[in-house]
Amino acid sequence: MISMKGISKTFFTEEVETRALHELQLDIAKGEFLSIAGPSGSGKTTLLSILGLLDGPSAGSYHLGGRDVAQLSSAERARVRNEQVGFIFQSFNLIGELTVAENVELPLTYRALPRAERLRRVDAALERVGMSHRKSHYPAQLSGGQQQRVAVARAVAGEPLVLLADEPTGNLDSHNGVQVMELLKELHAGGATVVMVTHNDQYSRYATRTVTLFDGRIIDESALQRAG
Amino acid sequence: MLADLRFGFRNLLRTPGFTLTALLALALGIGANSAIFSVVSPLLFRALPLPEPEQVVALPMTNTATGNASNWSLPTFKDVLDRQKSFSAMAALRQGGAAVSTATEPARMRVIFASHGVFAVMGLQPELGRVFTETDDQPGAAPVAVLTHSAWVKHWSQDPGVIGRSITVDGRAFTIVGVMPAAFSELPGDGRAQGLFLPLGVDLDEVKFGAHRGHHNLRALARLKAGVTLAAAGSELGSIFSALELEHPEEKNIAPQVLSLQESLTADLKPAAMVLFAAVLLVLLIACANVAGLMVVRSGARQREIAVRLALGASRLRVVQQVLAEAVLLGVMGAALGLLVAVWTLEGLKGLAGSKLSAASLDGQVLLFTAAVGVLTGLLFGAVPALHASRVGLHEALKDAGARASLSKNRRRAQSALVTVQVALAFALLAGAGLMFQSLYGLMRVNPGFEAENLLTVRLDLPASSYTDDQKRDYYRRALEQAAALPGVESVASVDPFPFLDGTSRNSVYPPGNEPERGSEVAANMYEVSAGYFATMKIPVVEGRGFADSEMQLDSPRVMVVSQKLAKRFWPTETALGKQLIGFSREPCTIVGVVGDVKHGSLDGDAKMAFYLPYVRSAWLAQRLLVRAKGPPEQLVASLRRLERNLDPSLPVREPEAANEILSQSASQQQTTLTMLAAFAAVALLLSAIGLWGLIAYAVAQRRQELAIRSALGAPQGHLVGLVLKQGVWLTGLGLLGGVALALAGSKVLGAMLYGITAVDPKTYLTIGVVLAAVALLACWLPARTAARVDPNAALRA
Ligand SMILES: Nc1ncnc2c1ncn2[C@@H]1O[C@H](COP(=O)(O)OP(=O)(O)O)[C@@H](O)[C@H]1O
Ligand SMILES: [Mg+2]
Repeated sequence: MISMKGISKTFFTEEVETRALHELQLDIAKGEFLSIAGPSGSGKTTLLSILGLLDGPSAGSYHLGGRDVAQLSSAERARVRNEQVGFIFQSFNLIGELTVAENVELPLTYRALPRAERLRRVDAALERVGMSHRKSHYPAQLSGGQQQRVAVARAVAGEPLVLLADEPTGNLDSHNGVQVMELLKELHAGGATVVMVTHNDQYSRYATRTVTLFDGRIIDESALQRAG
Repeated sequence: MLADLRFGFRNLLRTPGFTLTALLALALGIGANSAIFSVVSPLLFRALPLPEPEQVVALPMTNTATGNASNWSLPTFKDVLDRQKSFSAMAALRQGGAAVSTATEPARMRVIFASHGVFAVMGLQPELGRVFTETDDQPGAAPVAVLTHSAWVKHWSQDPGVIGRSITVDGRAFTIVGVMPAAFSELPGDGRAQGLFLPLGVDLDEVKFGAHRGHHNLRALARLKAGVTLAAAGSELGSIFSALELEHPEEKNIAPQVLSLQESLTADLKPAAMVLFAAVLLVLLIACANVAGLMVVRSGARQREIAVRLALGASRLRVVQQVLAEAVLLGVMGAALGLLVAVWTLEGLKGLAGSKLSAASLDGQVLLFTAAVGVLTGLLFGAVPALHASRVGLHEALKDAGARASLSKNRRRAQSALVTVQVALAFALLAGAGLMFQSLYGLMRVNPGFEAENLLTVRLDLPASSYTDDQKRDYYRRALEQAAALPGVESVASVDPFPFLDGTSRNSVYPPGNEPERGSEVAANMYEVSAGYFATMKIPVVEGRGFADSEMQLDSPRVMVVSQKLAKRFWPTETALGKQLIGFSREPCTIVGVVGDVKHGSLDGDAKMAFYLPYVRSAWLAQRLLVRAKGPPEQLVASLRRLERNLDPSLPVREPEAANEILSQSASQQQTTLTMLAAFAAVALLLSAIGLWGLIAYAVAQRRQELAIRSALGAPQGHLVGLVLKQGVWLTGLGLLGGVALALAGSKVLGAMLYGITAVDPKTYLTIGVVLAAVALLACWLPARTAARVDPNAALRA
C-alpha cells in the first residue's frame, strides 16, 4: 500500500546542507503496524513527514494507495493528507479554542460532508477512544492522556488509509503511555495501518515490524512477531 | 520618575520598529492638531487687540419681520446715543473706498466714515496727533482725517511730519490730524487693511440721505460700561426701540442685537472650525488607538520582565508608572515630530487659503498646546497597556504556557477593541469628507444665473468732488465705448452692484397705488445697469427684452426689467410685461422684460427677487465695467488698465478681476475645509489600515502553530486565508457600525456646512463603508497570505 523507492531529503539552511534521508527504500503493507526507531537526528520525523505528505522528498518515488504522490502540488498534498492520512503528534496538537468534538470534527470540515454525517463520525470516533463524555470540554480541561486519546479520535475520524504517530507517548507518563499504545493496538486489530516513531523499545513491541534509522538510512530491518 | 524615563527611553531604542511606527502615527495625529490649532486659535480664541475687549460689542440690526440683516440710520443712531445708559461710547460707521493723494502717487484706499465715538469704543489713543472729537462730527466742521498705522507706514513712510499735512480724498481736501497705533491697523472684522478714518459728517452719501430715518446704511459698535452685561444692554435697547417705534410709526420691525464683537466676527467661521477640530481630534484618537495597540502587542513581550520586577518586590503602582512614563515619553517625542508636521501642514494651508491665514503661526501658545497634547495622548494611549501590565501575575508569566495563552487572549481582545475604535473613527472622518466633497461638487456646479467664464470686471468709482453727475455719465459712456473697441472683446456692459463682489442694494417694490405698510414690504435686489448687461452676463431674457441703448438717456421713458421670481411674486398667473412697478425712485416704471434669476453673494443661497434699472438715473452713479472676452480674459487685463489711465490719469488704476475666480472664492472656505478634511481622512485611513494590519499580523504570528496543525490536517490554503480574514472582517464590520453611529452623532455639526445634501446620506455612508472595507480587507490580506503559506511541518516539529 505504501511504496518508497530511493527517497532522499536534503535540507539547505544558511549554506549548510543536511542530508536527512539517503535513498531510502520502504514498503508497508495494508494492516501493518510499523515502528520506526533510531537515535535523535537520524531522520525519523523527516521520514514521517514525507510519509504523511507534510513535505515532499528531494528525490525518489512514493506511491500511496497505488497513486504516485511524490510530486504533487501543495494543494493536492493537502487533499491527500486530509483524506488518507491520520496524524497523531507527540504534543497532541489540539486547538485550544475548540472543544473536543470540534477538534475531532476539524479534518472532516475540510471535506464536502453533510453536517449530520460529520457529527455521526465524530461520535463514533470519540466512542472508540472512550472520550464521548468529554465532548464539549476544552483541551485545557483534560489530562495529557485524555488529550492524546482525543487526538487519536481526530486521526481516525477521517477513516484514513494510514495512521502516522510521531512519538505519541513522548509527553505522557508510563500509565497513560500504555493506555495510548493499547488504543493503537486495538485500532490495528480492527484493520488499521499504523506507522509509529518511538524511542521506547517496550512500545516497539506493539508493532509487527520495526525499522531502525541511522544517519538517514535504514540499517537493520527485523520482522518481529507480534507479541500478545 | 527620572529613572523610569531613562529606562523608557532605553526600551524605545531597543525596539526601533515599534518606536518609529508609533512616532509616525503620533506625529501625524499631533501635528494635524497643532496646525489646526494655530489656524483656529487666533480666529476664535485670541482676544481682540483692544483694552477690555469683552466690553466691545457689535449692534447688528435685524428686520424682525423678514429676519433679514439690516442697518442703522443716522437719526435712529443719534436717538439711541442720546437715550442709552449702558454704553460708555457708541459709534456709527460705514466703509467705502476712495482715491487718496499720498506722499507719492494717488492710491485707492479703504475709508471708514465714523462718528467720533469709534475711538472711545476701541479704547485706543492715537500714536500721533489726535482723534476725532464731537465737533468734527458737526456739519460744516473743518475736514480732518486720521490715518491707520498701516497706511501711514505704507504710503507716508512713517513720516512723523504728516500731522497737519493736507491730502485729497476723492479730490476733496482733508487735513491729517492723527495716526493710530499699530494695534489698530485694521478695524476688527474687516480683514483688509484700511487707509484712513474720516468723520461720518463728510460722507457725501450721509450728507445727501442721512436725515432719512429709512436710510439704513450704518453699522454700529459700542463699548459696555463696566459691570453692564450684554443682556442688560440688550433689554435697554429693546425698550428704547419700543419707544422709538411709537414716535416714528413708519420705522417698524427693526431691532438691534447686542453681541460681543469677538463673537460676532467669528460666528460664521465656527462651523468650519468645529468640523476641522473634530476631524483632527478623530485623527489623534485614531493615532492613540493605534499606538495603544502597538504597545499592547509589545507588552506581551515584556510580560516576563514585568513579572520579574514584581517578583523582586516592585509595587504594581511602580510598574504602571513605568509603563505610563514610557508612553508619555513617546507622546512628547511624537509631539516634537508633530511640530514638523504642523509646519508643513500650515505651509500647505497658507498656500491654499492665502492671506486669510496670515495670523496663523506656530507661536508659544501653539507650542504649549502641542506639548500638552503630547503628554495627554501619552497618558491616553498608555492607559490600556498600563492596565495590562498591572494585571500581570507573578506566577502566570513565569509558569505554564496555558496561562500565558489566556493572557495573550486578553491582549488580543484589547487590541481588537482598539482596532474597532480606529475603524469607527476613520469611518466618521471619511464620511464627513465624503459629504463635504459632494457638497462642494454640487456647489461648483450650481448655476449662478449668469456665465462667469471669460468675464472681467473692474469698479469705476468716480469721486463726487471732482465729477458732476453729467461728467460721470459721460465717463461711463466713454468707458463702455472704448472697452467695446478693444481687440478680443465680445461685449461690454456696466452694473452696480456686481452679484458676487458687491453688497446688495435691497429696496422695497410695489405696483403703483399699492404702497405697502412699513414692515410688510416686498424687498428685492436693485441693479443699475447699462444696455448690454443681460447679453454680456448671458442672463437669459425670458420674456420681452433687455434695455435698449435709447433708454440710457435721462429723458427716456422710465422702464424696468424684473427677475422671474419678482414677476411671479406680483403676477403669478399673467405676464408682467407692460405692468408697472415702483422701486427706489418712487416713480412708476414700465416692465419691458423678464430675465432669469441670479444669485448674489454666495452660491449656496437662493436667488433673491431682483429688478433692473437703467444706470443713468442712479442716485450715486457708481458703476462697474463688465467685459466679456472672446477667449481667456487675462490678455485683456493690461489693455483695461491702459483704458482706465487714459480716461482719467488723476485716478488710481483699479485691478480688473475675473468673474469665475470671484465665484470660486465664494466657495473657497468650503474648498479649504474640504482639502484639509480630505488630507486628514487619508491619514485616518492610513493609520487605521496600519492598525488593522498590525493586529492581524500579530494574530497570525500568535496562531502560527494552530494554522500549521490545520494545514497538517489537510486544510486548503483558501480555508486558512478565510480563517484569518474572518477576524478582520468581523472587526471591520463592528467598526463600521460604530462609525455610522459616530457619523450620525456628528451630523449636526457638519450639516451646517453642507449644501444640497443632508449629513445623513445613506449613499455616502455606503460608499465610504465599501472603501473602508476594501482597505481593511487589503490590510488583512497581506498577513493572511503569510498564514496560507504556513509550513504544515511545524505541527510535527513543535
Ligand atoms: N527543516 C529543517 N531544516 C534543516 N535541517 C533539518 C530540518 N528538519 C530536520 N533537519 C535535520 O535533518 C536531520 C534529521 O532530523 P529529524 O528528522 O528531525 O530527526 P529525528 O526525528 O530522528 O530526531 C537532523 O540533522 C535535523 O537537524
Ligand atoms: Mg523527531
